[in-house]
Amino acid sequence: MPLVRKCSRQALALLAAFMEQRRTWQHGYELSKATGLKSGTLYPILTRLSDQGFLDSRWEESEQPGRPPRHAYRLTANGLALARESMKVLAGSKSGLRPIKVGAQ
Amino acid sequence: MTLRAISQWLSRQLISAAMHVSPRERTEWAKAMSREVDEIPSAREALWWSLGCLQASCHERLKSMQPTNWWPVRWAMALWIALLAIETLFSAGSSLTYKLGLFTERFPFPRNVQLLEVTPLWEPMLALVSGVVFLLAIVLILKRSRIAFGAVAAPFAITLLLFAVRLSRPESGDLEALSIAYQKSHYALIWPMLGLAITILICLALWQDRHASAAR
Repeated sequence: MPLVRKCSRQALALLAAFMEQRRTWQHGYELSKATGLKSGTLYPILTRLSDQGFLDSRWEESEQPGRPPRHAYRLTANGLALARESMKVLAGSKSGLRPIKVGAQ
Repeated sequence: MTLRAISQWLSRQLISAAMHVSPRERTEWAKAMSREVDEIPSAREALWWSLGCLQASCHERLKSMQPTNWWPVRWAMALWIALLAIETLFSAGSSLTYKLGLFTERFPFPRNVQLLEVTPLWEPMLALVSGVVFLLAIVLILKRSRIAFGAVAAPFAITLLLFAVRLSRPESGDLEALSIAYQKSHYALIWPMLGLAITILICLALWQDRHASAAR
């Protein structure tokens, strides 16, 4: 509970996006699309979650030939626990998780 | 040059600036942000993405810039606290000397000073403790200890409390003196306010340093 209280609305949206595809490594642009977060907001949250041990990251070869590798992210076991806890709290709250912008999945 | 080409050029410049601004320990993240630009189909969207990257890099740079990392700042902070320690110890020492009647043979102090007569003994004793803790804080600041914040904040709070208590006593005449000074010039209170602000800023810097050292 205390961990969830510290999470911003944007961080919760990001955790929700990770929870939707918990086993898949996801890229920054996809996460931005899924959450509606701009890169200037998304990356500080990603770095913070990574620093706190909630996020794993690795370099992956791009699907397009000739393009440089991309950074991919996935929740760690602690991250999954945090995301589950936050989803539980959100489900119990009146407002729930509102999308960051119209059109965000 | 088409609008798309201009957008792409601008985007590249912004990414380059973001990479430059980003602190060394965040280079990998700056690279990660910049690599995503290649995957964005729309030039306009890529431009906004790059702008966000620059914003994130600036954010990280500001976070990594801790004033206490610089030794001249630490020494300046220690010097200020030393001044506070001297002032507190001098005030406590003179009050205690009067209250306890010490050194009266060598230094004939005036008797029946109204303010000191009504001041209970615990006040200069507390001020003395504050002064000693301020002295300890100097060492802790220079050594970048995590408890430096407490060693400054606690005696500072006590000093403020003692000042408020003294101000509430009509014998002190402090309120009248402040009022007269303010009437003479509205800027007269700038110096005490500035002193207060400097000490508060030092406390904030030490608080931030405490959290940063916990994260390290």
